Amino acid sequence: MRRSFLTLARVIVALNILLTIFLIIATTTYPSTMLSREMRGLPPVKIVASTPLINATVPPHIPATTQTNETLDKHAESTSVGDTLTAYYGAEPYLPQILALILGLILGVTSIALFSEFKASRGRGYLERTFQKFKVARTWYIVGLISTSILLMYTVFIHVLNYSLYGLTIYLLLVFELSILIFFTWRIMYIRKLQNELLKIMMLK
Amino acid sequence: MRGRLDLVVIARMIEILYVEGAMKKTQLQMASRLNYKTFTRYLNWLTERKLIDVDSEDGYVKLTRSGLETYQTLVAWTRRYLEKI
Repeated sequence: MRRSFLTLARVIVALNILLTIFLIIATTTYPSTMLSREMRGLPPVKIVASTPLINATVPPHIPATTQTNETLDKHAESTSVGDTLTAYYGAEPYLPQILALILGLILGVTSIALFSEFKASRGRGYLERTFQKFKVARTWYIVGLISTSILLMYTVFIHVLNYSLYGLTIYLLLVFELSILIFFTWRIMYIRKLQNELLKIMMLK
Repeated sequence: MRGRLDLVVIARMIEILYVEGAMKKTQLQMASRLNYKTFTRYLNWLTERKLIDVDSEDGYVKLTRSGLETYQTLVAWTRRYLEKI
């Protein structure tokens, strides 16, 4: 069971990348079997266009000002629905940029972890190699926390955009990501505790 | 002392002296893979903490009793906590 948590962290980060790519493909290839979209909230109001009948001989029963107000009310109702839809889909024009940013961030932080892994492989003695592994573990946990947070934000984002991913899958994904977030937070806190102990032994604190 | 000290470099220097014994400053600098300025900074820090001792006559650097104990404590501690991280 040596370094089992570190291995788990590496696996989770790899899984995060795969999930991000899956979600990005699902969003960009919409509509597809992977993703459907449901409208939430109020259904759009069907506005019946009616021209007031003007009878030259018979004066209208409703005063002109009241009728105008009614028409305005109908428009006001439809505008509120329109606003709701804009709130749901307002971020959509920026979707390619958002996707590029998410993928870039996740791959960027993972490359930092891989670079630190490469640097650690050059350690010689036992103590040096162990300390390098310690630093690598800390980097992987931080990278895992960042990538999971990004993925969680994106999952919430596509949920807000009303994309429905295989029904309940999105909720399972949210629960999974939250538990991973708790795992990484716990590991980072443990690493911090160990680091403080180590600094005391080394007389650096 | 300005700048942060790297745990890995300190561990490397102590370990080299523990494994290979007393050696000249230049040898230790080469083995530590540090430039002269940084090496001097670490060497001064270790000397101040009485972990190493620099012989003023022949310029040899060796671990003190405290340095030896620190190394052993570190190895025991890393075996206990860091191997299953």
